[in-house]
Amino acid sequence: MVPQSLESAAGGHVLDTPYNEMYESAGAPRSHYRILQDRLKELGTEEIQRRQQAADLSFLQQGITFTVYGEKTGTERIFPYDVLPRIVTAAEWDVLARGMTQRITALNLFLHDLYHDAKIIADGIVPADLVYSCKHYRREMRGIDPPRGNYLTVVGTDLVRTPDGRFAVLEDNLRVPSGVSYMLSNRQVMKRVFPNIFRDYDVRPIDHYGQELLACLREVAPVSQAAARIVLLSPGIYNSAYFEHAFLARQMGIQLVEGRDLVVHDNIVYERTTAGLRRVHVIYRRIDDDFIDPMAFREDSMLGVPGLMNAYRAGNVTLANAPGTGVADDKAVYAYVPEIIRYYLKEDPIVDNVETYLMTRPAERDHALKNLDKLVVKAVGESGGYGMLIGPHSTQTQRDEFREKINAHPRNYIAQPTLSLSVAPCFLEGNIEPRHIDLRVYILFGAHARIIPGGLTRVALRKGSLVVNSSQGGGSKDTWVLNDSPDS
Amino acid sequence: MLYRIRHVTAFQYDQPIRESMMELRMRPRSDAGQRCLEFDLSTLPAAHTRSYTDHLGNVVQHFDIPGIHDRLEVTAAALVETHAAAPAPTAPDPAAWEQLDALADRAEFWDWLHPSHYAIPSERLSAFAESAGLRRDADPLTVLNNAREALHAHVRYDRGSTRVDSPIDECLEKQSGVCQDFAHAFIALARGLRIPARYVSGYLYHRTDDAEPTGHGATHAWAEAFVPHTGWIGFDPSNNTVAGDRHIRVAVGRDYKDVPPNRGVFKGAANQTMDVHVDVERARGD
Amino acid sequence: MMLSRVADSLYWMSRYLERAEHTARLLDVQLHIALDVAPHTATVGWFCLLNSLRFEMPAEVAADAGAVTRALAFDPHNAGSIVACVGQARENARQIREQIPSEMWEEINNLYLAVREMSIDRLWQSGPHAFFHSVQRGAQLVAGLSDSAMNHGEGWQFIRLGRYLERAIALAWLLDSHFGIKGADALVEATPSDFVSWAGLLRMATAYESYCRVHTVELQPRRILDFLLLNVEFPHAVHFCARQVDKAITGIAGWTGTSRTAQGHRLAGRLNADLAYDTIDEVLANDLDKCLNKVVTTLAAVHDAVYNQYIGYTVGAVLQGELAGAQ
Repeated sequence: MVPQSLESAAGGHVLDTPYNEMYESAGAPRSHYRILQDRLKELGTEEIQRRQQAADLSFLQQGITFTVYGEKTGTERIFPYDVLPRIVTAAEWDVLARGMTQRITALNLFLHDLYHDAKIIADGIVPADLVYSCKHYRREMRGIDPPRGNYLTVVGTDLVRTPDGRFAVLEDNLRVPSGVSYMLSNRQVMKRVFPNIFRDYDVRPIDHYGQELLACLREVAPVSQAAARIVLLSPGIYNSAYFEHAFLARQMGIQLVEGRDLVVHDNIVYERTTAGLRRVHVIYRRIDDDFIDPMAFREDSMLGVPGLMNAYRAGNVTLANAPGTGVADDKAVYAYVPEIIRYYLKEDPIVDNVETYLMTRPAERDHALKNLDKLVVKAVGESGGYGMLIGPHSTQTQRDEFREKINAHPRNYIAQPTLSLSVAPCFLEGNIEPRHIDLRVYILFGAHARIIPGGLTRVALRKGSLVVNSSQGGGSKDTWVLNDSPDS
Repeated sequence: MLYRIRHVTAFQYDQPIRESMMELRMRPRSDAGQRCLEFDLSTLPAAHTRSYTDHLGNVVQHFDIPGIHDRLEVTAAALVETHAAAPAPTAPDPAAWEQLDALADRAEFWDWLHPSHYAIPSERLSAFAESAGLRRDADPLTVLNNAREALHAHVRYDRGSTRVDSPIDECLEKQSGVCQDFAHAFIALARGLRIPARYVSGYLYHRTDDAEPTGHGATHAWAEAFVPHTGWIGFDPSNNTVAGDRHIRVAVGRDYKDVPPNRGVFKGAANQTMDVHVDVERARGD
Repeated sequence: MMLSRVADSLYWMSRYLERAEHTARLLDVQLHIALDVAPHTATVGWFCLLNSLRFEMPAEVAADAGAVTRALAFDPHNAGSIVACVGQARENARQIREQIPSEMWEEINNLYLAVREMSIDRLWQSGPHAFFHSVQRGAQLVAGLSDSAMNHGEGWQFIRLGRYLERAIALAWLLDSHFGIKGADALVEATPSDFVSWAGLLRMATAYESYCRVHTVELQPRRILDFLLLNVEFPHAVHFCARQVDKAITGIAGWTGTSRTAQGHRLAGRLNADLAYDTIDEVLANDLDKCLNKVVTTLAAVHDAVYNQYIGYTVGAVLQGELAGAQ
């Protein structure tokens, strides 16, 4: 969101008291958390502890793990899980669902435009530089028409709740978003661990994710939906998300394949079976663009399928997501999503971005330069926290350095307020304590958008930490989307 | 002019291979300066060839050979008609630089104005531009011709001195290079002056009395730069000439990486050797 | 019809487990025999064992129980060692973990962890029998789970094929080395001093008790050969294994729509028929060597035929319609 009035927004730069998901004020739970609080009191700490242990064991036994890189024997760990659910009301979800539908619709139109006439660039809404300098922009995709004009079949969007209680989009994952297997497993475990509390709430089901995904994949098939053979393409067992690939293939009842199982002949994709070659029509691929076809992209890729892009271009196979979607989740392009929504849909965004200042706009740049000690500055081309200035933790020298960089290359930087993520109660070593959380929601798009009422709530398990990534001490919670408030 | 081209590429493998796949950019373009009247591609072992037009308007032919083989021969035969390029304007346009700068924001010129894989600016290149006096003083066309002459004077054409994908610095340092080096250096110089420039792969017809070092019987590469009012003009720095009706254009791209004549993969642990034979002859028009 | 890669992994997982089990049993039995016999006889036993695994060692250590055990059980650089075979079996299972029952994966993994933790030094401390016995039991447990916890579909047939093809070859080599080393004398009535080694041969094929039940404890070399080569009811007899190979191939052909005239089918069927109609007198009259050799070469050809038909076929071959069932 680009603030309408810089003065009014300036107050939000200091780390505010985070929004508390459960409590309105000390000791006073929000109405939709009241039952949970009562039930937890009835159970007592020891009983909750016992159930947390049962949950951990269940994850381990089911093999719901992720592979840790760098160890030859393939160490597998469980993704830490917190037993207390995060609850989202029907009203809150309604806004999110409409917002995400709007967002994926606009992003699909944006991608189609970028790979065809690029009107949005000609009209001066998004700078050409931003798009064409992005390494995820695939020139090979120019002029290709994916089925239904659909580039994004699966999207995972990360949302945070700002101190005023509103949800805002922090990041879109438009390439090969992961984590949905944890969302589904968390729910399975939760229903076993807290069956009674679960029954007390009217929670919307999420178990149909696999069916919905399969339906979307069918809808984008190049042949009749019934005849379409659909496979999931994985980089193989050494990939950290392999568990999820196998899990989803099983959920959908489709074949999990690796690049070496597929072969392209005369622009048709086949899988190698013991009964010869069998044609494949839709590939739900969990391999990055760079590796899907050594003929078209990285020549040294051993994971891909030579000739896949030619088969795709000829319309004989669908790749979901389409190659080249990464251009739309680039950090700097992200800042333009509200404009992109307005441009294609002639609507205001229902769920906004996190406030983002573009250094190419003089007023925003001046404002940011004056408030460097309060803001986070990010280099648009970098990721993983590289090339970043965290204002409140920075020195004068660092700020001067960034001031120079921004003035020299305003296009390479964006600035955002230092975010104060909302907090939710977590059960940690026998105590219930608040921890910062975010929310990844999954949006599917075939003939139309489908949003699974739930998501992966990620938790920063370390006290005071704002980092929710699993590699850095993050965990997750089940996310309950209610049909209605329990007391209404 | 009418030309008949025969281009044979033979791949030999020291071990049997299978499931080989190849993409070719060998079909001469049909656009402003030329027309491809006939084109025939054949392979041995025989394969069903398919084609598509890439986003730059180049025709890409591709095929796969699923069975076991240890040799692959690709023969492209074309009949092309070229037209003499329209003479470049003699009266330099003082407003040309401003007009060029106005193009910079247009999506379709972005690729031609920015560094690409093999056409990357370097300190050595900047020093070379400096010493050759290449700057935005005269009109764009004059500066481009100066760049072509300066490159030709500094670098000696020497087949085999570098590879098609050598960095520009290597040829500037050695003062010798192949036609791709000349083209890449010229493109980087032009883009450094914010003049849109692109790479052209193709053939050059060689008359018996011509003294071009690039010789005949080989593919050739040169560059094109965009000049307001005139459009794309071909510059052939390895032969120190402007591209004319003896230059037969096959494909255009940001640099060599976008338009290699062939690109392929195969299964099998074999080493590949390649043998190329090209004939370009004048044909009689009917 | 299943992915070729998956079929390949199931097949090799099964072969490697069978190989590990066989090697463990041979070492177990031979270490036991060596305690009972004169040093010379023990030396012959070790040569015989190495020969039956087609494994070569320098002559000066070939009769050294410690050196041989280390090489065959724990040398990771020896592709045929127990530790290497179990490692390969696990790696193949890991590639297709989703396609096999989780109990099976867990047992393979347990076996792998147990084998990896053991070393030659600890083996002597804790007693070799316990370890080799646990390896055999681990492999048998996996085989049992494949029969009891898995669909008897195409994948199971590949497991079955791998197990019995491996076992038949190992048995043929075992017979070849025992009867080959002892030469023509071998078929003369056994002397009491030979008893230990003939009983050892039977134990190496888990056949001692079964043999006694059929022929009593009178160990006659000719009957032993008949039992281990031509018996169709005993699971560690060559004929029984060849029959299972034939059945597995027939099963796979059914799932994939392969023609009955396909190479693997013909070879396996003919081998099974030959063994069914051969008598031990004919075998001996026609040269035992030749017969065992034919078993091994035929099974090697069956392996190649199956590989070319179902796994490593070229796309070109499918397109020319050389493979049945190609679409």
